[in-house]
Amino acid sequence: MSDIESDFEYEDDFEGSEDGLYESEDDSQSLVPTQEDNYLRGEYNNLEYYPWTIKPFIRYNFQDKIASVRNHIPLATVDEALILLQYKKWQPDEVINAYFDKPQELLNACGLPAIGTSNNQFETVKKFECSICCEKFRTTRVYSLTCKHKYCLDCYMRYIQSSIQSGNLIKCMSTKCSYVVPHSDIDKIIGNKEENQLLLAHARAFIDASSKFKWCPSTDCQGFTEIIKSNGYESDLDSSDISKVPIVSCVDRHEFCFNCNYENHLPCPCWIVKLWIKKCQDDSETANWIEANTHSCPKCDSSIEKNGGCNHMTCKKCSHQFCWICLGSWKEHNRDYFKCNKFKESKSIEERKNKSKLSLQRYLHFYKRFAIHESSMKGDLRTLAIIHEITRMYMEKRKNQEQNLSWNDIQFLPDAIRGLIVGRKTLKWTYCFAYYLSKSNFAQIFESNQDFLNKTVEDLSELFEKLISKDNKDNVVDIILKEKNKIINLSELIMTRKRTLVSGTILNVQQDLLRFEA
Amino acid sequence: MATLPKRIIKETERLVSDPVPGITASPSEENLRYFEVTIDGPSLSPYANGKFQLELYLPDDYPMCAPKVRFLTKIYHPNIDKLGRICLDVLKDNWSPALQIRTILLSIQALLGAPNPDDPLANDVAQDWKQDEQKAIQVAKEWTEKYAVQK
Repeated sequence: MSDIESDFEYEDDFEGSEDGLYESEDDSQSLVPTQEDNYLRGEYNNLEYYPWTIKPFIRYNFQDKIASVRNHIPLATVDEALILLQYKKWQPDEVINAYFDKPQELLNACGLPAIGTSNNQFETVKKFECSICCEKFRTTRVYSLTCKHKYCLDCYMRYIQSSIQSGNLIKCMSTKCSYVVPHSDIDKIIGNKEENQLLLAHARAFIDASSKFKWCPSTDCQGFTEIIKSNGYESDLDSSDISKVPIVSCVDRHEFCFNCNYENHLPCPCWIVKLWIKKCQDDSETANWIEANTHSCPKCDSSIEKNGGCNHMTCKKCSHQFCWICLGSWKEHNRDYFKCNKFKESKSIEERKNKSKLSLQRYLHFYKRFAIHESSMKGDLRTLAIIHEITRMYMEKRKNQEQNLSWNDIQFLPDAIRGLIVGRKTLKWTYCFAYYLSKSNFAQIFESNQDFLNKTVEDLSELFEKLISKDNKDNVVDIILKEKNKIINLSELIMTRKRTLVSGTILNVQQDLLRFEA
Repeated sequence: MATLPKRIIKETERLVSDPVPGITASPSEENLRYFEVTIDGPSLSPYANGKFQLELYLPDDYPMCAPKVRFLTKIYHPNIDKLGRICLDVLKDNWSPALQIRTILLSIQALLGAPNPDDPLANDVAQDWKQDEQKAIQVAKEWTEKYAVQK
């Protein structure tokens, strides 16, 4: 199993060990995905992981256990088994032992009446005053657990909606009543758009709380990844081995860094990413701009931007009059108006200003490129969605006309699309990398590799862009097929160049040929 | 502003018509979900003779979630921090929609009578409390005298 220590913690009021459900498995057998779900066990430089989505996750992790509990306690319903298991942190053996040892104690603790005697009711009642909302109803639907505390369904719905996110068991609304609302009744009360919403929320909370799982950071992606075997990467140290950056992928093949929870940011090491993100979020760059483009009033220190006019400044705040060029008091040199004679003194100020101007320009140079690739990526996605749709429609039409063209003929498209996006992502992060890179001959090699990748990515992007231009509206598919070889070649070239760039860079960082200035 | 739920109207009416001894709670005129509260320190506690001011706010999803309550008067207590925030189970995990403003305020009054340094919010105060309870009680009395007793 994993060599990451479990620091899983869940629900403070649970007793017993802090072991997660993962450890409770007698072996990892039941976690091994089967063919039917088509899971790929991922491997990447000594790192092993499984990409998951929530429903199969529940199936593999929870359902066997429900069956096992019900085998031993045959009268227990699925709901009762769920409640018992959730209380005992998904350890069926503990449920069964506790049940045969001290059944009443276990049931009380879980908020259940004796197995087989639950009497939870939905009913329609007349002349009812709900003690939660204080409304008086002539007739209304109410819900009650075995305790017979009745509340209107509307209150129950709002109550469940406000507490379900935590994934914890939901108790009767009455104070100090510990009866628990069964999972299937929860779905009935809040409307069962999706089955077993409490179990879903519970599983999500479980995943959030465990350090073995990370949600895929891509927008709208529901996938998450479990680390099976770590490669001992020490996060955030600038001495850590860049080749061990834990890049994993989700079920939709989005690659991301398990350490930072950002998209695949290679060739940048995690610590550089951290610096960069902080820099971009900080207002430190605003401060740089102010430094480069404004003067402070020599008397009251307010920042002043001069947007035209003469150099005789009057501070709006403190009314101090001074010269914009030398920052000296205006009084002292109002006789020789245009000859600012305090040249020497102002030189050091100018130098400082130029320096910060230069550093700002440098940052903006890289940031702009970083940001452009990010927004281009979104543009690419839109273009590609259009192409996808056109192709699909066209294929349907062809099928009806019984022309001999199969899906296989355009299967190269999704790969090309992926190639383009992967290329852009890598490119984007090379600008962050370059910002912190110190100048050297190897840095020049890096830059030329970066140029190569840039050019190929732009070529392919342009080709796609051209395909959907209005002139080609009616024969897009024909053009796609005609350009098939070119598209395939370009996307393969992107992948090759990306690999060269990333692996070469990693190697040079490892051998200390590329160094960072941070 | 949306109309006030019947539940809040009823609770407010009862707080006025049948007040809890030693506790006052009156809604603000601008916002009927905001209450100005005073709680008398329990006799036999270091807070005796003090009149503590609090604010109480009923969030939109009240009574599905707990009211937000905070001490405005400075108080030396292991479960109340210097911002006046209160560590009390019924205000957090053990909240139940069947609890009310009055029950919550009573629980807070009871907390003044029975400080719990084992589950602290103000760590420094809890530390003092555990090391030298007599001295801590003395400080609590001084603070009560200084900030909560009307002269």
